[in-house]
Amino acid sequence: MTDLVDLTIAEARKALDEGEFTATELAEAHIKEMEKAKHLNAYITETPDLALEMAKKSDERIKNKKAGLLEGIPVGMKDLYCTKGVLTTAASHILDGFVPFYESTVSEKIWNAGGVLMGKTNLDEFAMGSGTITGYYGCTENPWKRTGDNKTVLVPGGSSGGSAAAVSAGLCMCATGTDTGGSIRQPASFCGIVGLKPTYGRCSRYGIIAFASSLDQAGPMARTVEDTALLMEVMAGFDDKDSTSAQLAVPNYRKALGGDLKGKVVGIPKEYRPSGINPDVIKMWDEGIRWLKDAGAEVVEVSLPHTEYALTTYHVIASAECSSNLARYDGIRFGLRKDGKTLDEVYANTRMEGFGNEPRRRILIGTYILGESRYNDYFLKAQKVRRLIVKDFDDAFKKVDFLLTPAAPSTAVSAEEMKNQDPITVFLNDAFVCPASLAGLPAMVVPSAISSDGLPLGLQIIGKPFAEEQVFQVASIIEKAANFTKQPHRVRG
Amino acid sequence: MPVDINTVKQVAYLARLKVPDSDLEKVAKELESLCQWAEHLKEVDTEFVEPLTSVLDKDMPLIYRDDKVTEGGIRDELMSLATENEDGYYEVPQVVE
Repeated sequence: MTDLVDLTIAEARKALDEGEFTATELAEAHIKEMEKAKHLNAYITETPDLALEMAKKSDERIKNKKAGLLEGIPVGMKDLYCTKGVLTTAASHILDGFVPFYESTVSEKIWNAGGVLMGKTNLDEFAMGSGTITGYYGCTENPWKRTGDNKTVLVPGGSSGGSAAAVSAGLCMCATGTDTGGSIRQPASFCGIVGLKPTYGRCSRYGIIAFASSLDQAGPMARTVEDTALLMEVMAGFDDKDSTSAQLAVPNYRKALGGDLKGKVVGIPKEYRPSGINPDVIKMWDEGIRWLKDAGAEVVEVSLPHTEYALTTYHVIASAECSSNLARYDGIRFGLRKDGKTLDEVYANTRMEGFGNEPRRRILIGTYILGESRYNDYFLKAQKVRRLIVKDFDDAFKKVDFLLTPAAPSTAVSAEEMKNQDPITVFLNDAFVCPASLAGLPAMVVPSAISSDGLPLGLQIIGKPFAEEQVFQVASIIEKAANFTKQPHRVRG
Repeated sequence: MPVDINTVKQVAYLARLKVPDSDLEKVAKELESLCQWAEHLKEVDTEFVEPLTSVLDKDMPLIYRDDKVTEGGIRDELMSLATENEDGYYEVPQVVE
């Protein structure tokens, strides 16, 4: 029999219902795998006892024919989601000892569907970063290695890098991520898994620690498109605790998979071929275009003329919003508190010690940009350019049904390589993913190729607002054509 | 646009971050380089463009929920987050000076 940790959710659900193994056995297999893979540091907090408790309840519900969509399935929860009674850190020292007494809406939906919590996955501090290297609890390792180089440790991407590494390494069957400017999609590409950033408003943000509220969105990560669709069905939906969540029914995304693309038009944005892009990435993209043609789609080139301004726009808006959102961490009501002679000193000492370099840097930038003499030139300007970026997509979608682009301009790099990149190059890593965030569009990454040095590469499908079904369908066609079967190196015992 | 040390001190104060004196120069350089980088947004003609604050502002109204109590009686849970508490009071440093 296949190792339990290698199964897809669809396979495991069937086997659980047919009594081939129990949810407890499935949880135990994953706990064992987690013990072997501690060096990956994919989890900040592992919850094996809770997992076994939840699995036991799942076994009862399966026995009573009351299984939910995710009944008995081991899930990794990004440590940005508040989980009742389980330490929630956002990978920050400032949330020391923060054990929420409430549950985020999305995680609650997952538990109601029978999901089993394996632990809280690592991330960049407050989701600020693209490598899972900025957090207080250390870096996460990518389970993948370059061919012939077992020494160099690569980053899993970020900020949902703990989730991506855990899913890829078989430390859970699926995980949640959050995406503000690519934080689900870039790690999915680096770790060879599937990740979806849904339309802004598709999933509730209630109980998810805020970074940049006009951009943040929760989304699913899994090893197959079908599994991602299943998790998405559970996560999506209106929530009266989040006034920005959409009052739309949640479709059965799995029904959208397969079929052909006859009559559909795919747009290829011509601005997504900057210099310095890895030739393997271009090769994969060309292959992806061919696969969609083979499925009956018409391919046309489109222009998104403001693409070159997206990164700056994103950086200005995200920094400004984060400086406001993170103002709540003052050391007074919860988390870390450092003493001071005056109240201002208590705030300043707590925040200086509690926040790591990355949040501090972004808070200072955001505060500076929002200052009276800079507000119009930078913040307001960026908000205006953002409207033009949205308009670019609107115009393109008058001619095409969806867009196809690479997810990232390169494969995973080492933390050392990433740290030595100048800030502009670091942000370029998000060049293909952040425009869809600014426009609030659904965008999904599917592993599509292996680079010449043996690492996974993903293609990105960008859809119209709330057209997740279309995105899932295209993803399933790419998945089938790519026949991506390579697995990362795993510790077997 | 050069950023002087006093501006950095003012920004750090507004952000309630105790930036050590030895780092002020470094932060000034960072703010400068961000602004230099952001200069290229000025190339974009936005004369008749409204700023976009939410991607939902086009056609989706924000939803208000009914103003009613949905949970309560969770004093002990709320108290569990307090850094300090005494006799059932949530103890914090003096915040009104």
